[in-house]
Order: sequence, then C-alpha cells, then structure tokens
Amino acid sequence: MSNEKDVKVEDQNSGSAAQPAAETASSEKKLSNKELKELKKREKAAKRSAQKQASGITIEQQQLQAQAKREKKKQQQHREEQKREAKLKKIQNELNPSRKAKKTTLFSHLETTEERRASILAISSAVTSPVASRITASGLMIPMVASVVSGSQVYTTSSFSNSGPTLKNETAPKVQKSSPAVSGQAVTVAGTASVPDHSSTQDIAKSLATMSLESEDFGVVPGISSIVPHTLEESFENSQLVSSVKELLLNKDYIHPAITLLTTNLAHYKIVGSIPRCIAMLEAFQIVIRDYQTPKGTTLSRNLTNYLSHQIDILKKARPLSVTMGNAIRWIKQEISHIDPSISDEVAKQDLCEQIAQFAREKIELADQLIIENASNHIEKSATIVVYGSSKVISDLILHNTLQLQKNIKVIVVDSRPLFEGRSMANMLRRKGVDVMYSLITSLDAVFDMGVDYVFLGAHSILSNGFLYSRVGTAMIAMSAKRRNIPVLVCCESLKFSQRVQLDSVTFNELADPNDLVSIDYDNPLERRGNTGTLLKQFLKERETGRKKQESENKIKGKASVSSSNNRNKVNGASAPSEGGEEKNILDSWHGLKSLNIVNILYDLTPPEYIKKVITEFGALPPSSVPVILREYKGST
Amino acid sequence: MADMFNITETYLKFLEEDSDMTMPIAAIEALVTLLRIRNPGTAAEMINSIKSAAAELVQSIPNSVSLRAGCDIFMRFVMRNFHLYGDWESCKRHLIENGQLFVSRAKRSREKIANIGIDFIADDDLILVHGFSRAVVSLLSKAADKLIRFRCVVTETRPTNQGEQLYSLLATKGIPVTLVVDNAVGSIIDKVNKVLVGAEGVAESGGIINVIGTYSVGVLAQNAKKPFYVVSESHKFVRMFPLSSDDLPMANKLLDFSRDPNDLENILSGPTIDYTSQEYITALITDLGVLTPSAVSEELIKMWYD
Amino acid sequence: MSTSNLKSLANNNNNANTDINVTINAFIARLKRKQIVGSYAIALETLQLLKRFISAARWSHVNELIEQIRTLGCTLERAQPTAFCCGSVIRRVLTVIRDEVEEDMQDGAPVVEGTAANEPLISSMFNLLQKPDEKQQQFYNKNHRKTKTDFRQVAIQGIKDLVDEITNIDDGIQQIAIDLIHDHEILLTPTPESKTVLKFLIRARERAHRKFTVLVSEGFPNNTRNAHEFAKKLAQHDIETIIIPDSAVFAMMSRVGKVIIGTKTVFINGGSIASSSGTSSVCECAREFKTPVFAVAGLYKLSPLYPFNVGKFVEFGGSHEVLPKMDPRFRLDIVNKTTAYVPPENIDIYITNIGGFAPSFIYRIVWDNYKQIDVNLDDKQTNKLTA
Repeated sequence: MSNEKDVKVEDQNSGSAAQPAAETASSEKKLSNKELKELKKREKAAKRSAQKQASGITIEQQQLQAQAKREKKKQQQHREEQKREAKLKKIQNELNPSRKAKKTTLFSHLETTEERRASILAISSAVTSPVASRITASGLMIPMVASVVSGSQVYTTSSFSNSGPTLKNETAPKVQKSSPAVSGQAVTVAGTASVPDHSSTQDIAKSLATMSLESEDFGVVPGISSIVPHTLEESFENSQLVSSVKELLLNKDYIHPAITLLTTNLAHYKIVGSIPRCIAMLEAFQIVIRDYQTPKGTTLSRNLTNYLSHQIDILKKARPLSVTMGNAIRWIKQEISHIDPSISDEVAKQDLCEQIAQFAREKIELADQLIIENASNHIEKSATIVVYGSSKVISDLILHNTLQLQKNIKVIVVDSRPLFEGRSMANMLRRKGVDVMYSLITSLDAVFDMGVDYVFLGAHSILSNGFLYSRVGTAMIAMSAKRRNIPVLVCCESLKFSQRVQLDSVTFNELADPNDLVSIDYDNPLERRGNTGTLLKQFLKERETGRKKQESENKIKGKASVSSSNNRNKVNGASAPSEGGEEKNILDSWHGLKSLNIVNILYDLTPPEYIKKVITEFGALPPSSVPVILREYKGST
Repeated sequence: MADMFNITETYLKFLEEDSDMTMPIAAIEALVTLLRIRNPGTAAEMINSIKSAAAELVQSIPNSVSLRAGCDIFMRFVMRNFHLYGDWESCKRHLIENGQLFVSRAKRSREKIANIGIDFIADDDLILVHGFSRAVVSLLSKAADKLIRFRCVVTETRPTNQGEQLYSLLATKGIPVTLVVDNAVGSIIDKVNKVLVGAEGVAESGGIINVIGTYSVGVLAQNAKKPFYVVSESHKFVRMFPLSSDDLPMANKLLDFSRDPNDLENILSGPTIDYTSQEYITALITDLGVLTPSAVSEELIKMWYD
Repeated sequence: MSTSNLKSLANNNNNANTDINVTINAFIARLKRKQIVGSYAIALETLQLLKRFISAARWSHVNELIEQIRTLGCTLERAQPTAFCCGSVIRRVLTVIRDEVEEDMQDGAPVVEGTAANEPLISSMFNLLQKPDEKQQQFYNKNHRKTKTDFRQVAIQGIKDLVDEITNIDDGIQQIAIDLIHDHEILLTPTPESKTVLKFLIRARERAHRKFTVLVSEGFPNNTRNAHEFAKKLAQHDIETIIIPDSAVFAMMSRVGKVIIGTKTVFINGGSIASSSGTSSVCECAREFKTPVFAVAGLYKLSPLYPFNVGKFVEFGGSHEVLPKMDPRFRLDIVNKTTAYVPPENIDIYITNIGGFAPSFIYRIVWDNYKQIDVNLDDKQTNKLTA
C-alpha cells in the first residue's frame, strides 16, 4: 500500500518537477495516445501544484509536507496494525471515524450503496482492467487468465472502457519504472506479468480504490467520490462480500458484454423504473442467448439456465433485482426447461428470443393498453388528478385521456427529493398540452385542498398481502388521500405482482446514496454526477479535508494517547469554520460526524386499506385479490 | 288568581306568541310570570314555588331538554343571588321588572352568534344543514346579507319535517338551497364543505341534544373528515350528561315492540331527539365565542361550583 | 404658561410622534419583507417598538391609550397577517393594561352595592339574566375621571415582564418536555427551524443523559438548510441523528416513538401553524400510526384567533424554490407551501413554559392571558358598544 501511495504522492506534489521527467521518459518511445493523455494529466497536476504555490506554499514546503505526511501515515499505519491485532475495533473507529462504512441503526441489515459500489467497482475493474485483474488474480489466488485483455477491448462501447485508460494512467509511472518498454495497452499483458504481486485482499482493495479515485475520469461508477478508499477496504473485511466477489470474479469470463453494459446502466441509475429495467434486461438476454454456444458434453436446456444465472449474479450487484425482473427471470428459466432437447440449438435459441419478445409485448405493452383503457373509464371530464413521481403507464394514461379522448383534465404532479423524477414527466405532459401543476410532497395538504378527484399511482410491485411496494413517498400520498376520502387507484401490470409478503418499509428496502441528500439544490443527483468537473473538485476537497483531519488527529494522538469522542468533536468543530468559506453544503463533512447519518431509501409500503382499486390488465380489483391473481395466472407468468 | 296560574300553559303561550322565542327563554319567561303573579313574600317561598313550577313544567312537556336548560339557569341564578348576597328581594324585583330584557337579550345573542360565526362561512361553500334552528338561520341569513356566495343542502329531517320549513325560509332569502332525504346524507357528505346544526340542549360533555338524525349526520361527517359545527345560544347549555340517546328524557321508546301493528299512523312514532357526543363536534358557535366542547363543560362547571 | 411655550410643547410632541412613526414604518417594512425571521425575534422586536410607542404616546384617559395600542396592533396585523405573535404580544400588553384598569376601578370607584363588581368567578351564561351592566358603563362614562395609576408605568412594566418571559421560555419548556422522552427512544422532528426543539433535545442529552435517536425530515425546499444545520448541531452534541427525505416519513413512522414539532402560532382551537411545510403531513402520518405528537410552544405563541379559514393563515412561497429553471414557453403551475396548519386532532399535547396542555384546553390558557374584547383589534364596534 505504502509503495503505491508514495508514488502517487510524489507524483502530485512534485508535479512541475515530474513533468520534464515524464517528457524524457516518453521521448524514449513513440508517443502513443495513452501517453498523450498521461501528459495531460501531469500538466493538470502541475497546474494544481502551481496553484498551491501561488497560495503561498513553495515546492520545498510541499515536499516537506509530503515527507511529514508520509511519515505520519506510516506511523498511523503501524499503530493501526497493532490495534487491529489487539482487536480494539472501537478505539480504531474513534481514531478514524470515516473508516467505517456508515450504517444506520435501523437499516444496518440492508446493503448500503457504498458496499454495493465497492463490490461492483471491484468486479468491473477486475473484468475490464488488465492490471487490476492481475492484482486480483494474485490476491485471490485465481490462476491468471490472459484473455482478459481481449475482453477489455471488446467492451470499448460500454462505459467500463473508461476504466481501462484510467487505470493505465495511474499505474503507468510504476510500470515505467519496472519495465519502461511497456506503455501501450495492446502489450499490457506482458507488462502486467512483471508487476510485483500484492499480498492481501486489503491491498487489492486499496489499490483498486486509489486507482479509480485518483483518475480524473469518473465514469467508472456513479458517485465514486463517496467511496473513500477506506470504505472499500472496510467492505473487503466483510468475508461474505469477499467470497461473493471472489465467486463473481471466478465466473467473470462467462459474463456477456451486453450484461456488463446493462449492469453499468443500472448501477448508474441510467435505466430506472421497474418496467424499463425489465425490458432492458429482456433485451440483453436476447443478445446473450443469441450469442450463446452450448459447451460440449451438455445440452442447451441444462446449461443455458446456469449460464444465465451467472449473468443475473452480476446484474444483482448493480441493484437488487426488481420484482418484474425476478418474475421475468423465473419465466425464462421455466421456458428454457421446457425446451425440447431434440431440436437444434439454433432453432431453440431463435424460439426463445421470439418468446421473450412476445413476453415483453404481452406482459407490458398490451397490458399497459388494457390498463389505460380500463382506467380511462374512471376519469371524468374536467377531473383533477394527482400523480406521484413519474410512471410510464400513468403518463400514457393522461396523454390518452387528454389527446385522444379530449378530456379536459388537470394533473397535479407531486414530486420528491432527491430524484425529482416527476419533473421530467410534468415537463413532458406540459409540452404535450396537458394542464399540469407541479408540487413537492411537503405541500401535500395544499394539493389535496384543490378539489382532487383521484389519485393515480404507479407501482414497483404489489405484494401478495396486498401491500403496494413503490417509490418512497407513495404511502404518504395514499394515506393523505384516504384521510380526505379521495379514491386512490393503482395502475399495475400483473407482472409486478409478487409472492413476497412484507409488513413495513424498514425490513426490506433499497438504500440509495446518502450523499444525494447532502447538497441542497434542485438538480437530479444523477445529472449532477455526470458532470465530472464538479465531482473532481468535490473529490479533491474531500481528500484534502480527509488529510487535514488525519493530521489533526495525529496531533491529538501525539498529545494524549486516548482521544475521547469529545475531543474529536472539538476538532471537528474547530475545523468546520475554517472550511466554512469553501464548503458549499452544510453536510459536506457528514462522514466525519459519528452520530450523524443520512438515510435515503428508495421504496416504501402502502397498506392495502389506503388503496381503493388496483387496475391491471385483468381488470380492476381490490388489493386483497392480488394473491388470487397470482394463483390463477401463475402458469402464464 | 294565583292558583289559576298554570305554568305549562303560560309556557306554551309564550312559545306560540313569539315564534322567535326559544324554549329555554319561554321557560324563563314563564317562571318570571310566575314570580310576578305569585309575588312570594319570603325567599323560601320564592325558591319553593320556582322549584315546583319548574318540576311541573318539565313533567308536562314531553320534550323537556331545552326548557330544562332555561329552568336550570333561572334556578341557579336565584339560588346564587340568595346564597351569596342574601338580597333575594332586589333579585326578585330585578327579575320581575326585566322579563322583557331577557327576551331581547336572548334574541340579541343570536345576532351575536351570527357575528361570531360569519367567519365560518366562506365563498363557494356547500353547507349541509340538518334540522331547523333559529340560530343557524340567523347565521346563514347574516352570511347571505354579507354577500357571501354559498349554497346549502337541507335534509328533510323526518319525522318533524323541519327541513321543508328551513328550505322555504332559505329559498326566500335567495340562498341557493336544495332539499335531500335524510338517507341521502351519506352519499352527499363528500361533496359538502361543512355541516351546521342547531341544538336543543348542549350537554355537559359538550355533546348536543338535537332533532333526531343529528347523530347519524355527525358520524358521517366525522367519517368523511368534514367539520361539524353546532350553532347554539349559551342558555341552552344544560346540566345533563347523557351517555347515549337512551339517557334522554323521551316520550316514546326508541325500540318499542309493543306497538299496535294495526295502528298504521303511529307505527313510526319514536323519539324525535337524539344525542351526539362531543367527539363528533368540531366546534360550538355560541354567543360566548367559538367554543370547543370542553369549554362548554367549563362554563357549566363555573355555573354550578362556586 | 405663554403661548410660545405651548407651541414648543406641541412641536416636541409632534417630533416625538414623527419619530415613533418613522420607527413603526420601518418595522412594518421589515415585517412585510420578512426580514425579521422567527416568532421569537418578531415578538421581541414588537415589544421594543411598543415600549417606544407607549413612551411617546400622549393620552388623557387610559381608554385612549388602549385605543392607540389597538390601532398600532391593527396596523401591524394588516402589514403581515401571518406574523401572529406580533398581534399576540400586543394583546398581552393590552390585557395587562385592562387588568390594571379594572383593579384601579375597583379601588377608586365607590362600590355599587350588590353589583357584580365583587362577585367571584362567574359563568358568562348568567349574562342573560344579569342586571343591566352599570359598572362598565359607569367607568367608561366617567371618561375624564383622573386615575391614580400611572398606566405608562404599568404598560412598560408589563412589556418588561413579557420580554423576561419570552427570553426565559426554553427553561420552562425543557423541564416538562424532558420527562416525556425515554432512553433509546426514536424521535422525529419535521420542524428543524425551531430553536426551542433544538435546545430541548440538546438539553435532554446533556443534562438528563438520555440516549436517543432523532430523525430529521428535510422540509424541502424551504427548510432543508435549517434541517441540515439542525442535524449537524445535534450530531455535534453526540445525539444520534438521521436525516431523512420528506418522502420517507411514512416509511419510518412505524419506528418512531414520538414526534416533536415546533410551532409558530397556536390557535384557540388547539390547532397550530408550523413554519415547515411538511409538518401537517408528518402529523397526519403520526396520527395514522397512533404515534404521539407533542408540540412545544412558548406562551407568547398562543393566539386568541380562531383559524376559520386556514387558507388565509398558511403562507406560500415562490415557484423558483421548487423549479428554478423553467422553460418559459411551458411554464408549470407550482405549489410551494412554506407553513403548514396542523389541526388539533393531530396533536396530542402542547408543552408551554407554564405546563403541558391538551389541545382541547388551549382555549382556557388563551383566555387567561387575553381579553375577549381584544380579539379583533380592528373591530371598533366593541369599544363603541361598551363606551
């Protein structure tokens, strides 16, 4: 770890000095594209250090600082190791509170986004980056597979490919030292073989993290700045996670590029909503099945399911599967098992793809049409409708009623932070000429004072005990409407019916990134993440604060051997005002406050008594009839 | 002559003569008349004669809740003056001399209610009214005079058919009004904005005793989360605490299985009042201000415990 | 006294008047622009203004003073109808003066035998049978009778007492409220802008050494900054704090032991206005889960008004808070509530600095502190009627 970091620190702090060195290094061979990029990076680093210089710190001072930091880090590392041995985890936490991935008392049973990102980062790096895979291979004692490199080239269309050059940049100095001949990506296989092996999973984690973090291309994983190397390291202490990652890495050769692409898109929240996610998955599966070749000695009906399971495993890592995806997967597996072994693989694959397309058409497109027809009967002329967030079927329903049926309806779109999904729907409807009003969930009672006739809700899933599992906030709207005797109607394809039962929203849920709630603005955090420039700044700032904190803590450590939590608070309090000027958000440093947590859940449960009617393609039914549909139509799903 | 005096007849005569007069005021007036005619010589005589007259009056009138309030307040006033200050003579004089003042004050209190309650009626309101109440009428006409644009739904209020009376009265005032059968309340309750009812008596708990059907309307309004306002003069506060409609003094039994099945006219003769407990009441609009049900209890407590 | 003397006196008088008018106008302007934030600040500033006003006021009879104060109160209320505590403190001062007037009258006026003057607490129901009210008329008729009492002194002292009360409100509230939370309880507060709630929670942690978790809902868009600062402060005091988006309130409510809300105004019916827009929905959720809701409010926040038309009392903010960027061709209608009305049925208890009360009993506390006659400050009729 120290080796790697030292290189990096040097690189950063002596940027201006490093530049000519890099030039000489690069003059030794042809200037490849990669090197050009690298040069740019260095230039930027130089600019950074120039800025620092302008702010009054000379290079010498910087070097001194760097030296001091290095020493301190070594000291700290040493101490930490001792303590780990002594298993004094508590003290360790106090020493460095941000080490521990933040877990809320109520939701500690759920996987945090950080954990999820950590694992997917590890996997994606392993899949796409030759260097990382090498490291991983040695660390996890997986026999080296040379074919990875070709894999990384195949994926160039996916956003994962970004990580290729990214990692390259960071490891380049090191590689140059050991074997200057290696620099182009095409020859990396040979080069990586000579990179000294690392010894433990933690080091892998750290190197993975530093590699990704130090890069200026933040395309790898959304919101990466939130993953402090510690988090990654921390999550690798979790043996369960390590084993699951190990398993995935073992099977990484099986993973189809289409699935990897889908995985990134899901993890990026580029594809959201249970129906779009399901459609995307079905499309990806069609490609996978088309490309599938049955290995020798087995049959398609036996092996394809297994093969798909590997794909699904990685999909699960992006986000928990939606109920629609689960139902669709169950159906596909059933279909595969029904394939007649006598027909040829080509025909079987063709059939399967057609069936999948048919499934999507029937269960989603046609179902939506039926639902819209049915629900339209409820909408009177000049009715006022409240909708929440965005939903494909609901926006289609509204458009159908205003454009085709010429009903003069008024729509109130209620929306909530942090995703603001309703905003795009409101804008879309407005552009199409619908009378739209937009409001946030905090103004709910004002909305319901406006003579609302119906509340139409979309669904993520309806559970077999009649509970509606949907976007967080749905329950509040349904409850408020119910209390005002406004009928609540849920539009839901039967594909979303789930066998599961659940009683409250805390037991099973999906945690989103708590950092989405940190900044107080009106942008969708996903859009914000796409903007690399701000992210980089934020990240650099975070790192800087992290370092400062460490330093100050070390100082305290020097004075008093035991630092009480009180002491730490004082430090935080003291450092807060000094940063106050530059800090944009009040909570930018929330990781540092031990007792502060941010919970950003994605779903909640609406009890059936708030729901008047569930409109499905089978007609309208009370929520209590969900299990009936599940039983009756089990065969068809 | 003194013996010729019949308290019940006097009471009924007052009610008949002045259609604006409420039962408690009529009772008070009757008692004042009694004092004037009997002109008791001692305090004890005065108290006794009031007591017996009040008892007689309550006995003889089937629907006695409201007049009981009048008797109570009168009695209490006399007793208080007597006990506290011992100046029963001046008290008697005051009562005898100012009979007409009380009537005018009672009428003025309705005016006051209208002034206080006017804020409850807003433009575009759809108001459900059950039963006929002078206080409600005065409030609604005041609102109409102030050019507030509201509409009324009036229930038929069987079997007394007070609804028709109210309907025609409101219609002549130019208030948009519609009449519905009592059974339709459930279907229209979601459309209305608020419910107004009068009261024959306001019980100690803050619940009200009113024409039959009020309870059902109250329950429906509560279920539909609609505000349920009682408009009533404070002299109708009565020291009773019924637990349900069963506890009310009523002429006919609610569930009477002994009626003659051949007597078709009286098949439906049941009580004409019921009790609506305080949890269904949003607020009481009285001449003392807008009171929560618990404030009623306070007023009564203050009257009886000093 | 020569005429010139008189003139200069009048001039002085005028100067003083213009001075105070300038101050009043400045205050009104600030109220209108919402430059004074929080009922605490508004109450204190109103009292300061009132003090100056009374010091500068000239009157020949105390009724004139009362009338002048009423006019001032009326002006302020018109300027900012939602700054309730403004009117409330003025009514409180009026009450102090009126009480003094009554006392003064009892001392000074010859007791009319057998009138209500020395009668104890009496039900207003007796109004009906009461003898014609001579006492009051008597007093008001004797308009020019000199009283011994220095009402200026009384009013100023009343203001001073009120300022004392307002500044010391938190202690009283904390004492009572701490007993309402137990160890390891999970609390939820939707009103992070309330200093009273903040102080109370910190005190419960530090003095009573209770360990508890506080959920803070964000109150987006108008209150998020406050919420984050609130959470940060709590966390710095070692209180387990969790920030949740407003949409997650329902999901978390099943785990919440108590909901604490700060209030802006408490109306006579026991309902209240909270200055965070999501509060009414949060309280509704709490009611749905039968989670107790307790509201903290200083006595000065009680208002003798009845929320006839809630729409009049609830404030709305600008649309830019919700949607800063909008396509000018396709503008959306936006609802942005900045305050919320919580009806009395959604609140279980009010903690004030003089004790805890059920919402149904708030009316009594209000009448202990205000006079019915001052409810409508712009209502001249009431005065004419009695005068």
